[in-house]
Amino acid sequence: MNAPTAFVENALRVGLKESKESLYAVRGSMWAVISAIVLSLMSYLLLTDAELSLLDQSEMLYIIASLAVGLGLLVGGILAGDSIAGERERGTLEGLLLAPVGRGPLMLGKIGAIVAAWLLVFAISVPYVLVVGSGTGLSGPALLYTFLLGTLCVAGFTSLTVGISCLASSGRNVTLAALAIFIGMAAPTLLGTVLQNSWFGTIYNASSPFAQVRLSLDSVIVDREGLAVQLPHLGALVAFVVLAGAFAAIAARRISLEGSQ
Amino acid sequence: MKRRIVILVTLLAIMVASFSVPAFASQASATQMGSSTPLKIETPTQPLSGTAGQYVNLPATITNTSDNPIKDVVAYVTLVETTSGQQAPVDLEDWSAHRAVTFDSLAPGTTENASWDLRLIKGGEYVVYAAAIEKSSSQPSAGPEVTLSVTAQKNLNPGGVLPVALGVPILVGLALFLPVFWRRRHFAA
Repeated sequence: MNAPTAFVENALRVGLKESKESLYAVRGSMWAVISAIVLSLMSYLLLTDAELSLLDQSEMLYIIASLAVGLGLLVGGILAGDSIAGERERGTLEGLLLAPVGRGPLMLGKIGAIVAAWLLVFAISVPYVLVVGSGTGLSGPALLYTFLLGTLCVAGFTSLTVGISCLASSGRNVTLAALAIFIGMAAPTLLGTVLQNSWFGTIYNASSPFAQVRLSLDSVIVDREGLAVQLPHLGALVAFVVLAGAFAAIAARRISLEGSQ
Repeated sequence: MKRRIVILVTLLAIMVASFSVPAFASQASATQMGSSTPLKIETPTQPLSGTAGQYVNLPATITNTSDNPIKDVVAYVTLVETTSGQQAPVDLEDWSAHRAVTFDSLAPGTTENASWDLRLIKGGEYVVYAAAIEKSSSQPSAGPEVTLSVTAQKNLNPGGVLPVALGVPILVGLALFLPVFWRRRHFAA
């Protein structure tokens, strides 16, 4: 067996094991149910509240699609925070490092399992997107871009958090750091329109992967713009994945049984 | 674990609150009209109308009435809600993807065409007008006011959200938790 094949096989093996562990535990399944409840509440509110139902349907669809990606990031951050630092806290890291699997496949497997959790959140969001976008003809593009943008954003965010988890000694600290990064990424959405159009808002939006996702979803769903307009957003997200992946790869080499404070 | 759940629930509440803010928040703006500007902008004055979700088009012509070329001209469309009790300028963020139309140069006496597609976001009565200004000038030119009437469309429960809103969490819960409990009982036995 050549090296790349062994690398991929080992990564798949680790990813499958992690996914099973996550799904077979109540803890892992709980995020999926919470995601479904949040999406239910939001879509029910949008389609039954007299004031909110005045919103254009494409606006509603955009809100649901953005919410699905936001939930994916939240779930990804929580699970990634626990990935290496959690093993260290439970005393299972030594055994993991002694397994006949390199650091690369190990990291890729861990990240892949968390991206799989996002895919579950995405799958849960499909019926909501279909029902909210019913009759608009926008459900297909909304699903396609939610999947594409969400997968890139979650993969980058997960890689970043797993990298931090390699270096930190406490899973709780990593989770808090992941949540702080998530809030930092989502903060541009809380800025007013005037502030978003200022130089500060422009720089903030350009540097926030989640803002890129929302801008692209807005462009696709509300403004009905094509792929060419989305390329800068997709490019920024690919760059985010590459940078975060490089950080995770460097951090993986520094995994120690103690971690750093 | 409990602490993480508390943090997660708090964040979810913040996130849901931020998503539910209506996207059509209005902002104040003011345009100073000048009588000596060499730009002239004209739009058809027939009233526009449509239903929320549809598009309407506002065409405009911008003419350089002076004997000198004008560089860097920006034309912009402005919308003001005139519905009784809700009179306010409207932020066009969701109404139009391309609000500013720019021209590098307008030769003396030439006319250029501009056009805006407006997506009707919210029902009500509006006034829309186009304005143009030379970047180095402080005197804009505004076109005539065009009334825009948008019929509200309530999207109450299209497609039947209740079965999905109730069914999906139950199905997801059953699909994920039942095998977990079954395994626990199976292995305990």
